[in-house]
Amino acid sequence: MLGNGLRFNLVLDSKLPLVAVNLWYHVGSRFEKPGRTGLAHLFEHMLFQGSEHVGTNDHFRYIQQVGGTANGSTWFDRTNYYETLPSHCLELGLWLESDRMGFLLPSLTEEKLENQRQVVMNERRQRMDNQPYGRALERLNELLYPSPHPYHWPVIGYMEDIAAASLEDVRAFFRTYYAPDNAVLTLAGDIDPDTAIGLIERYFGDFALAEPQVGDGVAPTPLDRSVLEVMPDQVQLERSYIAFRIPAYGTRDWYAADLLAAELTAGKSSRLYRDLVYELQLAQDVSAFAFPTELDGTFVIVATASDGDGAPRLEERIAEHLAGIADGEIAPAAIERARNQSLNAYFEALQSLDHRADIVSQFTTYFRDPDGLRTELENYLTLQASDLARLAREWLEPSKGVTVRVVPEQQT
Amino acid sequence: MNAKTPGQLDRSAAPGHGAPKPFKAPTIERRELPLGVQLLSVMDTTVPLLQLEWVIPAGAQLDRPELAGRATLTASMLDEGTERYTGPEISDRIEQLGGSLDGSADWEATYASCAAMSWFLSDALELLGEIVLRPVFPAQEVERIRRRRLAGLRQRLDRPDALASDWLASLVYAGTPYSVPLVGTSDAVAALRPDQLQSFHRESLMPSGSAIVAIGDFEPDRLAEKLTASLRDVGPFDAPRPQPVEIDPPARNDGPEVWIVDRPGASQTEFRYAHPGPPRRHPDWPALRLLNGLLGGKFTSRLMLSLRERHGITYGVSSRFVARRGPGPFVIACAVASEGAGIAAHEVCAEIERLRNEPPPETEVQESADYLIGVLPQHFQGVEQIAEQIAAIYTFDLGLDYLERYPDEVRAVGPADILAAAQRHLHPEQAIILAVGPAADLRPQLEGIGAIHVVSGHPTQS
Repeated sequence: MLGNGLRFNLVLDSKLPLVAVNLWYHVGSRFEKPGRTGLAHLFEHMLFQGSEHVGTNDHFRYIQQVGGTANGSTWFDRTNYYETLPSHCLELGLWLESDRMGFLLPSLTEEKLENQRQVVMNERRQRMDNQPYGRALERLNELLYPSPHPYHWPVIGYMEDIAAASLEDVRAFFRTYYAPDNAVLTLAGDIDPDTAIGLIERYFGDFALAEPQVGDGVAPTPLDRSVLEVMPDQVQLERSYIAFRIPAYGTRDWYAADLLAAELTAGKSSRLYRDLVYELQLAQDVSAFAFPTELDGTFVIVATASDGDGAPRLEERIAEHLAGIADGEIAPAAIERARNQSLNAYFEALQSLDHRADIVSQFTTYFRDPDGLRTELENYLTLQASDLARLAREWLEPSKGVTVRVVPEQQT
Repeated sequence: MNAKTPGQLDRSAAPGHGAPKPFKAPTIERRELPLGVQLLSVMDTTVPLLQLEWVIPAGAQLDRPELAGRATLTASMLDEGTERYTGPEISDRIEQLGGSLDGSADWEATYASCAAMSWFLSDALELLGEIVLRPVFPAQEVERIRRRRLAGLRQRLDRPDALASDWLASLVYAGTPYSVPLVGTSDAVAALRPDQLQSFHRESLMPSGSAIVAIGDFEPDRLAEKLTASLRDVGPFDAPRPQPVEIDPPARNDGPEVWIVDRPGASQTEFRYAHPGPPRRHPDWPALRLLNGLLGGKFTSRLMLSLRERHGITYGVSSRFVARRGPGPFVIACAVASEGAGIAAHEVCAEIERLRNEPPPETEVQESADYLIGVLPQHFQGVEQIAEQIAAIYTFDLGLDYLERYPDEVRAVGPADILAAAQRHLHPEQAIILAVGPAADLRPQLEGIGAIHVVSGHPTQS
């Protein structure tokens, strides 16, 4: 850690002449205020518009002309920025990241903001508004996390809020959250540790501490009822989104949910695929996820009905499976299968430097534990069928589920 | 803590850097197996994984229009039942080990791939051999997969991007196998019989002339021994594999033609600009890669700076020469604000004209080349990624030294070569401009570019 609170990690691997530079800021959409949703994400866009010493469209130019790649992403709890560079260009990456951490404000203009407001509105249309089922997950979160829970609104924000974001909002957001003691920097790849530490001190060492933060956003509110909402859309097939709150990311129960997702829908031998898609042929597809969120975890099952008005039958059948799991129906072989699937995915993800840097930043940001890769592995290796049954009993009861059923428009 | 004031360090210019460290692309080892099968392998022991990709050079280009979807449906059926195992037995066994098996096809080839942790090599090989060499296409399973495929085809009506590509294919490649999506058409898929899939497998997917691409943590000699043993009791195959028809897209000389696919009330427009391009093996391919980089192949491309950074009418725009054995399409694609569709069309036409009329500045060419060469090591970070590249080298017959040649081929391209390639391969007179969105808003903006046609729905489904 530097004197100004910037935490950093180094992951050494010189197999390829590459270095991944990965910077997390502990701020995401849950830190926004109602009426200004989408600001964290819009802000992420502004960080690619140049800073005091980097011209408007030059961030990507500097990176691409040495053969690097770069991007950023915004989530409920955090924003990350990352680039993978040829390893001899590490200093370039640190110069770029430090310039926008320390010197963004002088380069911000109304013109740039207006341009990116338009870009983000088009991103929202492309990802959600102009896609079949595109608004279902947004609605699901609104119902699962009633206002004022800070997961109530979508990460990308509502259209009218994106349009309303002002230059002063952006400046205040920067001053509050974009500071060294709210950030974690991870370098992974072909690096010499002494040189790397020297460069980090050089580029980030002279930044001041941030102003005190305004706290952790709004406190989470509980959910104690089940909800079913029918949502008409321009679609051919009905689809059900079924969600439950689960314990937060990083807990053993969260990993139990992740393993349960694999047991339910990873591959053709998974429990729900075999039953709903193969045997009964009620579903066109089915998938399950545990979202890695910091305050509360979210578990979602998505199933598309193979014909007509099949969604209610699908929902019933999924509820029966969850009840069976709560009753201890998962066989040891099924756990072994899910465990092997998760291990395979774990090794696959480890192949990319980018991902390794990202997970180290993540565990440092959320838990001050850079050893997250080991924590993950231990969880996958040690979870038992009884852990999944307990998770289902305590968290996946029908009385706590939220369902959004998307149906073809002409039916209503 | 001792907080300092920012600004003590001179940050005014980007720091310099030393020389790049050498990067050598992995060496592909080639071994001959029985029946004219070759093994192309790269050992990579970073993680305990292996990726096997069996590439059989017969794909959807062999499907006549009335059989559209046959190659991809056959590929989907490979793991749904074999002489020894039922579909569920196959998926139970491979997935119990954490692995996966998958059959797929594109225009040129059929692929059977298997990913697994490396200690399960024997199981992976046995199952992969089983699905490639001995699938049985049970009628009941064909029926089930067909029903899912038909529902999937219906779902293409929901997706504006799928509508755009289906319309584009039907317009640019009318009358050829490329005129329909790889998944086929509803009419053809509804009519395909199990025996037609079986005979496609027997006549086109035989192992002779195929390649097994293997990447990961294993001993290549041992792998070759095991494969040799499993190929012994197969065949022989005497009949030659059928050759695909030549793709001869309809001539068009009065373009660009404007096609509007009406979606009243849509909140955005899917915009495309397309015409047939050269085959992957065309000698201009390296010049086209650089040309495409300038135009719309990277974040700092001319189109990206114009449509996104200057006009703010899109989240992103890309251009691409699609690699196929035949004349694959050149496509520019973006989802654009409907009120910006006219700007998009004019900017795209202007950038195409500029490329056809002016050699690009030396520095821009240099930057594009530096990007393509510098980014190369990033493409070797995973076994699946490496397997895909080697499969493409095999499919397009680029030569096993392709990865070594590539940087020199890119370096050799200068501004004059790009200008010449633009004049040879960018053809506004053959182009289709397609906009999927609200016709009432789009039509006035697209007047004056070329003949306008307004349609709705899907080119092959009602």
